[in-house]
Amino acid sequence: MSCEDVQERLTEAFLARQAPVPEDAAHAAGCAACGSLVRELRSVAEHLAVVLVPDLRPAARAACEARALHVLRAQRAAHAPAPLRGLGRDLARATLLGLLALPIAVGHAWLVAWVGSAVLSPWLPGPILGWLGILYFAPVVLGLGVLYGAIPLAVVAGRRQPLEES
Amino acid sequence: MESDEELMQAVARGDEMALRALVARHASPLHAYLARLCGDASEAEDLAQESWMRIVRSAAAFDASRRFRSWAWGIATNVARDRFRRVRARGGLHAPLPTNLADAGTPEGRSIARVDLRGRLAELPERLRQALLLRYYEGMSEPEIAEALGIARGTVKSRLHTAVMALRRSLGGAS
Repeated sequence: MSCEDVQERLTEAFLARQAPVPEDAAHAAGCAACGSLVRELRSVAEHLAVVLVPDLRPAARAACEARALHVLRAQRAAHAPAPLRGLGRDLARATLLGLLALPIAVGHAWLVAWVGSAVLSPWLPGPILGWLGILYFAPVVLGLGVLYGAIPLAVVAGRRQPLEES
Repeated sequence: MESDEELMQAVARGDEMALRALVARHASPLHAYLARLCGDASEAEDLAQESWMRIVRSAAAFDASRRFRSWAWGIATNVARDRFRRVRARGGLHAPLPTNLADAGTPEGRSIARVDLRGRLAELPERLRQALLLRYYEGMSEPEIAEALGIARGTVKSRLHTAVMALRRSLGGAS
Protein backbone atom coordinates (compact mmCIF):
# COMPACT_ATOMS: atom_id res chain seq x y z
CA MET A 1 0.00 0.00 0.00
CA SER A 2 1.84 3.09 -1.26
CA CYS A 3 1.28 6.57 0.16
CA GLU A 4 0.28 7.75 -3.32
CA ASP A 5 -2.56 5.21 -3.47
CA VAL A 6 -3.69 6.04 0.05
CA GLN A 7 -3.69 9.78 -0.65
CA GLU A 8 -5.69 9.17 -3.82
CA ARG A 9 -8.30 7.25 -1.84
CA LEU A 10 -8.31 9.79 0.98
CA THR A 11 -9.03 12.57 -1.51
CA GLU A 12 -11.76 10.49 -3.18
CA ALA A 13 -13.35 9.83 0.22
CA PHE A 14 -13.22 13.54 1.05
CA LEU A 15 -14.90 14.48 -2.26
CA ALA A 16 -17.60 11.85 -1.66
CA ARG A 17 -18.03 13.21 1.89
CA GLN A 18 -17.30 9.81 3.33
CA ALA A 19 -14.97 8.69 6.09
CA PRO A 20 -11.73 7.05 4.92
CA VAL A 21 -11.73 3.26 4.93
CA PRO A 22 -10.24 1.90 8.18
CA GLU A 23 -7.05 0.66 6.44
CA ASP A 24 -6.32 4.11 5.03
CA ALA A 25 -7.16 5.79 8.32
CA ALA A 26 -4.80 3.42 10.12
CA HIS A 27 -2.08 4.11 7.58
CA ALA A 28 -2.56 7.87 7.88
CA ALA A 29 -2.30 7.62 11.67
CA GLY A 30 1.22 6.32 11.35
CA CYS A 31 2.39 8.24 8.26
CA ALA A 32 3.40 11.89 8.46
CA ALA A 33 2.57 12.79 4.84
CA CYS A 34 -0.79 11.02 4.74
CA GLY A 35 -1.68 12.24 8.23
CA SER A 36 -0.96 15.79 7.13
CA LEU A 37 -3.24 15.33 4.11
CA VAL A 38 -6.04 14.05 6.35
CA ARG A 39 -5.76 17.14 8.56
CA GLU A 40 -5.75 19.48 5.57
CA LEU A 41 -8.75 17.77 4.02
CA ARG A 42 -10.56 18.00 7.35
CA SER A 43 -9.81 21.70 7.44
CA VAL A 44 -11.13 22.18 3.89
CA ALA A 45 -14.25 20.15 4.77
CA GLU A 46 -14.89 22.34 7.83
CA HIS A 47 -14.69 25.43 5.69
CA LEU A 48 -16.88 24.00 2.95
CA ALA A 49 -19.45 23.02 5.56
CA VAL A 50 -20.16 26.66 6.41
CA VAL A 51 -20.92 27.74 2.88
CA LEU A 52 -24.60 28.10 3.61
CA VAL A 53 -27.14 29.00 1.00
CA PRO A 54 -30.40 30.73 1.89
CA ASP A 55 -33.48 28.72 0.98
CA LEU A 56 -35.11 29.53 -2.29
CA ARG A 57 -37.83 32.07 -1.53
CA PRO A 58 -41.37 30.79 -2.22
CA ALA A 59 -41.92 33.71 -4.61
CA ALA A 60 -38.78 32.78 -6.53
CA ARG A 61 -39.85 29.14 -6.66
CA ALA A 62 -43.25 30.20 -7.97
CA ALA A 63 -41.53 32.37 -10.57
CA CYS A 64 -39.42 29.42 -11.71
CA GLU A 65 -42.55 27.33 -12.15
CA ALA A 66 -44.53 30.09 -13.83
CA ARG A 67 -41.81 30.91 -16.37
CA ALA A 68 -41.17 27.26 -17.14
CA LEU A 69 -44.90 26.65 -17.62
CA HIS A 70 -45.09 29.70 -19.86
CA VAL A 71 -42.38 28.27 -22.10
CA LEU A 72 -44.06 24.86 -22.10
CA ARG A 73 -47.42 26.33 -23.13
CA ALA A 74 -45.82 28.46 -25.83
CA GLN A 75 -44.04 25.38 -27.20
CA ARG A 76 -47.25 23.36 -27.14
CA ALA A 77 -49.12 26.09 -28.96
CA ALA A 78 -46.38 26.41 -31.57
CA HIS A 79 -46.27 22.68 -32.27
CA ALA A 80 -49.99 21.94 -32.21
CA PRO A 81 -51.43 21.97 -35.76
CA ALA A 82 -54.43 24.22 -36.26
CA PRO A 83 -57.37 21.82 -35.83
CA LEU A 84 -59.21 22.81 -38.97
CA ARG A 85 -56.25 23.64 -41.17
CA GLY A 86 -56.36 21.26 -44.15
CA LEU A 87 -59.35 19.35 -42.81
CA GLY A 88 -61.58 20.29 -45.75
CA ARG A 89 -58.91 19.18 -48.20
CA ASP A 90 -58.46 15.88 -46.38
CA LEU A 91 -62.22 15.28 -46.34
CA ALA A 92 -62.56 16.08 -50.07
CA ARG A 93 -59.70 13.73 -50.90
CA ALA A 94 -61.22 10.92 -48.83
CA THR A 95 -64.69 11.51 -50.31
CA LEU A 96 -63.35 11.36 -53.87
CA LEU A 97 -61.65 8.11 -53.03
CA GLY A 98 -64.92 6.81 -51.59
CA LEU A 99 -66.83 7.91 -54.71
CA LEU A 100 -64.69 5.55 -56.77
CA ALA A 101 -66.45 2.71 -54.99
CA LEU A 102 -69.89 4.04 -55.90
CA PRO A 103 -70.07 2.93 -59.60
CA ILE A 104 -68.62 -0.45 -58.68
CA ALA A 105 -71.23 -1.01 -55.97
CA VAL A 106 -74.12 0.27 -58.13
CA GLY A 107 -72.96 -1.68 -61.19
CA HIS A 108 -72.64 -4.84 -59.16
CA ALA A 109 -76.09 -4.37 -57.67
CA TRP A 110 -77.64 -3.72 -61.07
CA LEU A 111 -75.96 -6.81 -62.55
CA VAL A 112 -77.17 -9.04 -59.72
CA ALA A 113 -80.69 -7.62 -59.93
CA TRP A 114 -80.86 -7.97 -63.71
CA VAL A 115 -79.44 -11.50 -63.86
CA GLY A 116 -81.42 -12.58 -60.79
CA SER A 117 -84.73 -11.33 -62.14
CA ALA A 118 -84.01 -12.82 -65.58
CA VAL A 119 -83.20 -16.22 -64.14
CA LEU A 120 -85.80 -16.36 -61.38
CA SER A 121 -88.82 -14.64 -62.99
CA PRO A 122 -90.13 -17.79 -64.72
CA TRP A 123 -90.37 -19.58 -61.37
CA LEU A 124 -91.11 -16.93 -58.78
CA PRO A 125 -94.05 -14.54 -58.54
CA GLY A 126 -93.41 -10.80 -58.81
CA PRO A 127 -93.93 -9.86 -55.08
CA ILE A 128 -91.41 -12.45 -53.92
CA LEU A 129 -88.90 -11.23 -56.50
CA GLY A 130 -89.51 -7.71 -55.22
CA TRP A 131 -88.83 -8.75 -51.62
CA LEU A 132 -85.67 -10.59 -52.67
CA GLY A 133 -84.53 -7.42 -54.43
CA ILE A 134 -85.14 -5.38 -51.28
CA LEU A 135 -83.25 -7.94 -49.18
CA TYR A 136 -80.30 -7.61 -51.55
CA PHE A 137 -80.31 -3.85 -52.06
CA ALA A 138 -80.76 -2.97 -48.38
CA PRO A 139 -77.30 -4.28 -47.36
CA VAL A 140 -75.76 -2.58 -50.42
CA VAL A 141 -77.23 0.77 -49.39
CA LEU A 142 -76.22 0.21 -45.78
CA GLY A 143 -72.69 -0.71 -46.86
CA LEU A 144 -72.37 2.47 -48.91
CA GLY A 145 -73.68 4.49 -45.95
CA VAL A 146 -71.10 2.94 -43.65
CA LEU A 147 -68.38 3.59 -46.24
CA TYR A 148 -69.14 7.30 -46.52
CA GLY A 149 -69.81 7.65 -42.80
CA ALA A 150 -66.37 6.24 -42.10
CA ILE A 151 -64.63 8.85 -44.23
CA PRO A 152 -64.54 11.61 -41.58
CA LEU A 153 -63.53 9.08 -38.94
CA ALA A 154 -60.65 7.87 -41.11
CA VAL A 155 -59.53 11.45 -41.71
CA VAL A 156 -59.62 12.30 -38.01
CA ALA A 157 -57.74 9.11 -37.10
CA GLY A 158 -55.14 9.92 -39.73
CA ARG A 159 -54.64 13.41 -38.34
CA ARG A 160 -54.58 12.26 -34.72
CA GLN A 161 -51.67 9.85 -35.11
CA PRO A 162 -49.07 12.48 -36.08
CA LEU A 163 -50.38 14.70 -33.27
CA GLU A 164 -49.78 11.97 -30.69
CA GLU A 165 -46.32 11.25 -32.06
CA SER A 166 -45.29 14.91 -31.95
CA MET B 1 -43.59 7.74 -7.78
CA GLU B 2 -42.36 8.54 -11.24
CA SER B 3 -38.65 8.98 -11.78
CA ASP B 4 -37.17 12.32 -12.83
CA GLU B 5 -36.42 10.88 -16.23
CA GLU B 6 -40.04 9.73 -16.73
CA LEU B 7 -41.27 13.14 -15.66
CA MET B 8 -38.90 14.85 -18.09
CA GLN B 9 -40.19 12.67 -20.92
CA ALA B 10 -43.70 13.69 -19.96
CA VAL B 11 -42.61 17.35 -20.02
CA ALA B 12 -41.31 16.78 -23.55
CA ARG B 13 -44.86 15.70 -24.43
CA GLY B 14 -46.21 18.90 -22.92
CA ASP B 15 -47.34 17.57 -19.52
CA GLU B 16 -47.70 20.50 -17.09
CA MET B 17 -48.16 18.33 -14.00
CA ALA B 18 -44.87 16.60 -14.72
CA LEU B 19 -43.14 19.96 -15.00
CA ARG B 20 -44.66 21.12 -11.71
CA ALA B 21 -43.44 17.91 -10.05
CA LEU B 22 -39.92 18.39 -11.40
CA VAL B 23 -39.78 22.01 -10.23
CA ALA B 24 -41.08 20.98 -6.80
CA ARG B 25 -38.36 18.35 -6.51
CA HIS B 26 -35.41 20.25 -7.88
CA ALA B 27 -35.97 24.00 -7.62
CA SER B 28 -34.23 24.32 -4.25
CA PRO B 29 -31.21 22.10 -4.95
CA LEU B 30 -30.71 23.75 -8.34
CA HIS B 31 -30.87 27.19 -6.74
CA ALA B 32 -28.39 26.13 -4.05
CA TYR B 33 -25.97 24.91 -6.70
CA LEU B 34 -26.27 28.13 -8.67
CA ALA B 35 -25.88 30.23 -5.53
CA ARG B 36 -22.63 28.48 -4.68
CA LEU B 37 -21.50 28.70 -8.28
CA CYS B 38 -22.14 32.39 -8.78
CA GLY B 39 -21.80 33.40 -5.16
CA ASP B 40 -24.97 35.44 -4.99
CA ALA B 41 -28.24 33.98 -3.80
CA SER B 42 -30.46 36.56 -5.46
CA GLU B 43 -28.63 36.35 -8.76
CA ALA B 44 -28.97 32.58 -8.43
CA GLU B 45 -32.74 33.06 -8.39
CA ASP B 46 -32.57 34.75 -11.78
CA LEU B 47 -30.25 32.04 -13.04
CA ALA B 48 -32.59 29.35 -11.72
CA GLN B 49 -35.54 30.85 -13.58
CA GLU B 50 -33.51 31.07 -16.78
CA SER B 51 -32.31 27.50 -16.25
CA TRP B 52 -35.84 26.13 -15.87
CA MET B 53 -36.90 27.92 -19.03
CA ARG B 54 -33.95 26.47 -20.89
CA ILE B 55 -34.67 23.00 -19.47
CA VAL B 56 -38.18 23.14 -20.90
CA ARG B 57 -36.94 24.48 -24.24
CA SER B 58 -34.49 21.58 -24.44
CA ALA B 59 -37.01 18.98 -23.27
CA ALA B 60 -37.38 17.44 -26.72
CA ALA B 61 -33.63 16.79 -26.79
CA PHE B 62 -33.63 14.99 -23.42
CA ASP B 63 -32.26 11.47 -23.71
CA ALA B 64 -34.03 9.25 -21.17
CA SER B 65 -30.95 7.06 -20.87
CA ARG B 66 -29.23 9.99 -19.17
CA ARG B 67 -29.87 11.07 -15.59
CA PHE B 68 -32.13 14.11 -15.39
CA ARG B 69 -30.04 15.67 -12.68
CA SER B 70 -26.74 15.70 -14.55
CA TRP B 71 -28.50 16.90 -17.70
CA ALA B 72 -30.38 19.71 -15.95
CA TRP B 73 -27.40 20.77 -13.84
CA GLY B 74 -25.36 20.89 -17.04
CA ILE B 75 -27.90 23.27 -18.53
CA ALA B 76 -27.81 25.41 -15.38
CA THR B 77 -24.02 25.46 -15.53
CA ASN B 78 -24.21 26.74 -19.11
CA VAL B 79 -26.70 29.42 -18.08
CA ALA B 80 -24.35 30.57 -15.32
CA ARG B 81 -21.36 30.42 -17.69
CA ASP B 82 -23.18 32.64 -20.17
CA ARG B 83 -23.91 35.10 -17.36
CA PHE B 84 -20.25 35.12 -16.26
CA ARG B 85 -19.20 35.81 -19.85
CA ARG B 86 -21.57 38.76 -20.04
CA VAL B 87 -20.24 40.06 -16.71
CA ARG B 88 -16.66 39.78 -17.95
CA ALA B 89 -17.60 41.43 -21.24
CA ARG B 90 -18.98 44.37 -19.26
CA GLY B 91 -15.61 44.76 -17.57
CA GLY B 92 -15.84 42.50 -14.50
CA LEU B 93 -12.69 40.42 -14.05
CA HIS B 94 -14.19 37.65 -11.94
CA ALA B 95 -17.49 36.05 -11.24
CA PRO B 96 -19.29 38.22 -8.69
CA LEU B 97 -18.22 37.55 -5.15
CA PRO B 98 -20.90 36.37 -2.78
CA THR B 99 -22.59 39.16 -0.95
CA ASN B 100 -25.97 37.83 0.04
CA LEU B 101 -25.00 34.59 1.72
CA ALA B 102 -24.26 36.40 4.94
CA ASP B 103 -28.00 37.06 5.21
CA ALA B 104 -28.61 33.43 6.06
CA GLY B 105 -28.94 34.35 9.71
CA THR B 106 -26.12 32.41 11.28
CA PRO B 107 -23.89 33.27 14.25
CA GLU B 108 -21.29 35.94 13.66
CA GLY B 109 -18.35 33.57 13.97
CA ARG B 110 -19.66 31.37 11.20
CA SER B 111 -20.36 34.42 9.08
CA ILE B 112 -16.71 35.38 9.25
CA ALA B 113 -15.63 31.91 8.22
CA ARG B 114 -18.17 32.00 5.44
CA VAL B 115 -16.86 35.30 4.14
CA ASP B 116 -13.36 33.87 4.15
CA LEU B 117 -14.45 30.78 2.30
CA ARG B 118 -16.59 32.67 -0.17
CA GLY B 119 -13.42 34.40 -1.17
CA ARG B 120 -11.57 31.12 -1.43
CA LEU B 121 -14.29 29.44 -3.46
CA ALA B 122 -14.59 32.47 -5.70
CA GLU B 123 -10.83 32.44 -6.19
CA LEU B 124 -11.05 29.02 -7.76
CA PRO B 125 -11.16 29.16 -11.54
CA GLU B 126 -14.70 28.68 -12.79
CA ARG B 127 -14.06 25.25 -14.32
CA LEU B 128 -12.58 23.93 -11.06
CA ARG B 129 -15.40 25.42 -8.99
CA GLN B 130 -18.05 23.78 -11.19
CA ALA B 131 -16.47 20.34 -10.85
CA LEU B 132 -15.94 20.70 -7.10
CA LEU B 133 -19.51 21.88 -6.42
CA LEU B 134 -21.03 19.09 -8.49
CA ARG B 135 -18.95 16.44 -6.73
CA TYR B 136 -18.86 17.74 -3.18
CA TYR B 137 -22.24 19.39 -2.68
CA GLU B 138 -24.35 17.74 -5.36
CA GLY B 139 -22.90 14.27 -4.81
CA MET B 140 -22.56 13.55 -8.51
CA SER B 141 -20.24 10.81 -9.68
CA GLU B 142 -17.37 11.58 -12.02
CA PRO B 143 -19.21 10.18 -15.08
CA GLU B 144 -22.24 12.34 -14.22
CA ILE B 145 -20.09 15.43 -13.89
CA ALA B 146 -18.42 14.60 -17.19
CA GLU B 147 -21.87 14.39 -18.75
CA ALA B 148 -23.08 17.60 -17.12
CA LEU B 149 -20.04 19.64 -18.12
CA GLY B 150 -19.49 17.95 -21.47
CA ILE B 151 -15.91 16.98 -20.69
CA ALA B 152 -13.95 13.72 -20.43
CA ARG B 153 -14.02 11.73 -17.22
CA GLY B 154 -10.26 12.04 -16.89
CA THR B 155 -10.60 15.82 -17.10
CA VAL B 156 -13.16 15.73 -14.28
CA LYS B 157 -10.78 13.77 -12.09
CA SER B 158 -7.95 16.14 -12.85
CA ARG B 159 -10.08 19.24 -12.17
CA LEU B 160 -11.31 17.81 -8.87
CA HIS B 161 -7.82 17.08 -7.66
CA THR B 162 -6.58 20.48 -8.80
CA ALA B 163 -9.50 22.16 -6.99
CA VAL B 164 -8.80 20.27 -3.76
CA MET B 165 -5.12 21.09 -4.03
CA ALA B 166 -5.91 24.76 -4.62
CA LEU B 167 -8.18 24.88 -1.56
CA ARG B 168 -5.57 23.13 0.58
CA ARG B 169 -2.96 25.66 -0.55
CA SER B 170 -5.36 28.50 -0.03
CA LEU B 171 -6.05 27.37 3.52
CA GLY B 172 -2.34 27.23 4.15
CA GLY B 173 -1.87 23.48 4.13
CA ALA B 174 -0.51 21.92 1.00
CA SER B 175 3.09 22.47 0.10
